[in-house]
Amino acid sequence: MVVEEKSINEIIKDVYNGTIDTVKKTIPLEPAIGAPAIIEPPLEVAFGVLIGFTGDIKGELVLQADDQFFATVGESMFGMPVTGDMLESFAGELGNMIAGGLATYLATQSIKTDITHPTVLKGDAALSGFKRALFVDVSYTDQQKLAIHLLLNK
Amino acid sequence: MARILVTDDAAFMRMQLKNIFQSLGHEVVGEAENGQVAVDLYNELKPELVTMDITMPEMNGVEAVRKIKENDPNATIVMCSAMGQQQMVLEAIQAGAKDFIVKPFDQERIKQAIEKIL
Repeated sequence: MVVEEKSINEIIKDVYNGTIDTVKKTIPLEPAIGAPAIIEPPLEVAFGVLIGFTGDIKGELVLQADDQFFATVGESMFGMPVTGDMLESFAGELGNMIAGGLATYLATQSIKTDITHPTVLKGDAALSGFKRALFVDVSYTDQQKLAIHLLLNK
Repeated sequence: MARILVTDDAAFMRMQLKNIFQSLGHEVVGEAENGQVAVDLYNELKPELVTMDITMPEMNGVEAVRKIKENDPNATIVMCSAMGQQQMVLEAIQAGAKDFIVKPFDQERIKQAIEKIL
């Protein structure tokens, strides 16, 4: 099946399933994953990572969490505390790994995409210029949360 | 002990790879934050092994592999990327990469790749 034959609902289902698959494979913590939701602009981001998607899906993947979340995940993945500049670099890399994993999953669903290198967002950015966004809420123990948004232009 | 050039746009990932290589008894002789810097450092340092990310600013990793192999067909390069789709792996191997490690990885996977190649 080529992507033109997929409806937007099918694409959103594939992105949702791919996001769950990738988050579970990438982050070695047991998540509780919320139902998908569609939100409208603007998207307020205090701290997060933005990665562009090109190809069959055009949009941006935005991961939002606080410093503590990225520090916890960094330590769980690499066995060492992650702080300062390295925390920002790790946040970008975690975004890259999740976006890359999602692109890999989507390829198995006949959706060909490529990703851009990550941009770290800090300081209360308000993102607009997209039509709608798929929102997936991922929760971990100790009330740690990761919000994943795929901003779409259709 | 091998002399290694690490290429990744994320400083965190370069640090992780450096720590892993050092703990395995190898020497990281250079770090590149994009493909163009990797090409330049390869020509200057002539490392025995290069690790190469794919998604990077300036020049992506597959293009950098092609450039390095043009200058030195015997260069030994291992891809290290979050993009694991079959087409991407194929493209990198066709460009001349010897192995493809999908992120996230652990020390064992790096060790396995080095032992197979060197």
